[in-house]
Amino acid sequence: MAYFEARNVNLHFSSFHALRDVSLSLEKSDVLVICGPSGSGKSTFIRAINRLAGPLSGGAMSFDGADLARMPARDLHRRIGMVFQRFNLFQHLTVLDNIALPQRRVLGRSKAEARARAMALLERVGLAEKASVYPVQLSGGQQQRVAICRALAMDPAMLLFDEPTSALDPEMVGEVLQVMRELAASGMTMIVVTHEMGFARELASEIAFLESGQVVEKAPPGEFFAHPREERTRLFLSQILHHQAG
Amino acid sequence: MSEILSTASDAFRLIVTGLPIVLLLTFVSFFPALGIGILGGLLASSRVRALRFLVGIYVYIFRSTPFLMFIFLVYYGLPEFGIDIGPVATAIIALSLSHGAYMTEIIRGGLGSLDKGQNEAAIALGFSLFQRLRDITLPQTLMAIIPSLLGQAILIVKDTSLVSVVGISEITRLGREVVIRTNEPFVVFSLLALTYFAVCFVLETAARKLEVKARLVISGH
Repeated sequence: MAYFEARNVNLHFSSFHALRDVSLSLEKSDVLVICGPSGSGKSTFIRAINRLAGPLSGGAMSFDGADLARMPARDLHRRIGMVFQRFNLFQHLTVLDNIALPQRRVLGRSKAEARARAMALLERVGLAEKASVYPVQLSGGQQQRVAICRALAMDPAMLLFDEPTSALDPEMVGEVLQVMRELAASGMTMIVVTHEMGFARELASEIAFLESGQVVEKAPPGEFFAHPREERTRLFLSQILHHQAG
Repeated sequence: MSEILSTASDAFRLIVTGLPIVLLLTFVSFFPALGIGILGGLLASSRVRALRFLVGIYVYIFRSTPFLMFIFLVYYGLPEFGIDIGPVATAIIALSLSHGAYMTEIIRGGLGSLDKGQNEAAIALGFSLFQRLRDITLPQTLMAIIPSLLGQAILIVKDTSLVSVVGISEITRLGREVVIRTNEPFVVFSLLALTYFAVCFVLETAARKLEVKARLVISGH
């Protein structure tokens, strides 16, 4: 059994069939990249993993040998972290408290311990001097790096990234990808929804292409880019690669 | 002229004795009203339709009845059921319930305006419902609605003038007594109006300062 596995996952939003028999898996320390046009269900899929998309209407997901549906919410959320497209840093808390408070509330760490961990992570992403400012005072790229620190501080076993660079100005994409690159190199298990094909080519263990809630194609990056099997994948790739080259 | 001066000094004396009662009634009613507002606002935002309906009825009743009528109802009504709580408790209960209804609406609106991503982030980090309310949702809501809450405090200050009808010696009632003695209604009520204005002006200024501050913190969405 794979480290994370989704088997025939189906999900409806009232009458809309958002995920159709999605089956995907990855091993520990792997990076699974999910791409696809907007509305394809890729964000819905990773939101379904940590129960932000409502209950599945069919299929099952397992993580580290356990059925995800039966895992208590708190266990699930402390083991699987998430980074959002719009960062979602707590606006009323300083950068330091954004990273320290969840550790105290969910993991029961002491204030000093949580703050020390937060500072160490901020130093790792080059933002230690921003510890006492509020999120609105940071650029998008800086906010996303803080959000990654906040997720990492919980010592998750797997991280979900929901289009982590889509809300960023182009010049800030690099700094966030660099942090993710280092994470992947350190052996973090990651599922990344992204359009950054350079990142996918470089770091993905496998790339899945979703459209209309279905997995159209999945393959290791070499094969995915060089010999896409499906016509829809080829079309998507030509559009997105053309756009990113331009 | 000396009569007016002596009237003014009478009025000044009544302000000194009556104003603390106005402030005390405002202060003591504000917090229960806020408590009711938070509870009502949360229930009004709940997924359970019956709860939303009940809160809706409460708000509707208090927003559609004159406050004066409600004071009479509590003051003369409760003794009919053998409950005699006296004028001060009557005033506090009436002010709290009435303004609790308005605060319910303020807080419901504040909760509705929050960025959903904040709550999602807290869920994804493993916060319990209680922790989300205490650490994220309520602080952000309260910060965003501080100006409206202080605006409501101003309305409470003004409504305290109505509780004089149940015999509380706040400044409006004391003012009427001075008018009866001196027959100088214009001088006395002008001074009273100025006093209410001064109190509300302070609250208004505080509201504006805090609004700027809150906007600095909560402006990320």
